[in-house]
Amino acid sequence: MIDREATEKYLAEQAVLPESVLAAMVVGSMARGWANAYSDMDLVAICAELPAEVSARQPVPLQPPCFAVRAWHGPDQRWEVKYWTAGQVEQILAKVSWDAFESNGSAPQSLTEAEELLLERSLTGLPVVGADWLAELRGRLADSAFQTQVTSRSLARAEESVVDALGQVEADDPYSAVLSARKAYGHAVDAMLESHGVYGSLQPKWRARRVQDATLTELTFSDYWQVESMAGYDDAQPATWVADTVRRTRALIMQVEL
Amino acid sequence: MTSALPPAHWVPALPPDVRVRKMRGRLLVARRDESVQLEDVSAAIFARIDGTSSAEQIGQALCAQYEVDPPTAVADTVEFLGQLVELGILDRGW
Repeated sequence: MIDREATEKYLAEQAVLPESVLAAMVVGSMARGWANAYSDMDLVAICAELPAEVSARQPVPLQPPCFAVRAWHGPDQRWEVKYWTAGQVEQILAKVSWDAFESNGSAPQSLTEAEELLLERSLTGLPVVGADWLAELRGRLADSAFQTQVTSRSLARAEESVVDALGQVEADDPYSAVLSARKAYGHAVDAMLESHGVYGSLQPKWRARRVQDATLTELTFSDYWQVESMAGYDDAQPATWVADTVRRTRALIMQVEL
Repeated sequence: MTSALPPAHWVPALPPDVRVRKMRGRLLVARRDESVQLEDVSAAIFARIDGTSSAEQIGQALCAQYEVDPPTAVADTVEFLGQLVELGILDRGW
């Protein structure tokens, strides 16, 4: 459980939030309640301008052409704040507009991983400063093509992996086919989650957590986990597992509402 | 000479390159340059193509759901599968 006031006080003591800060939020595993003893405390701060004193700057195809990072070791864990400007957020929102989606096709090609993570985390972060600003951002994201873009991308990836898996079985390459089928199913699960507004396909390590938290009617956790953990796999008959996993993948794809 | 309609014992399978999207409750199915929009019964038949169920089994499985007698359900299923083959969405496998 995050203590918002204590976090804000600590950040003030560390002087890591610039005067121009519009919003700041705890993100990642801490915000989702999935943290462990070795988890970092990750934050995102949206500011009018990027702060001058930072640990690193990461390039992005935006103006200004980087976001900033400040990291340090606190009393209990490592802390990291990523700083973005409000202007950069506007540019990222333009990339997930319906106009961009209709002209660009289904894939959010122009969205970098860092930008996508920022949008996704804006939806699940716990506000420390600027809750109203973040609520407005969430509303604009809900009206954007972001959900359709990422869901379409996961569906396309699932189908590409199905083609790989079936082609590899046909070419008598069953072990590659097993890997492709498992990958296909993972993408289909991601698509199903994204269609319900549960994002995070860039971080498959949290997929089980996302399925657990989502409690989907289309996919129970035990059904999901049976495939993800390859519970029914028989090394004497890998092609059987591939066929069953492809069938489950396609059944999921057909239920994902765009 | 092969029949235009598949036999009821035919087990249809989706080719690897078939793409499916569900939009507003309808299935949009595409393969190569062909695409078809499926609703209601046709979507339910398509969703049951799994490479292990025959046309007859698919038709019978839909009887209760759509309150039709088994011979009609199987005949409709066979006819629809034949149309998918004609469109090139499914490969002729009989």
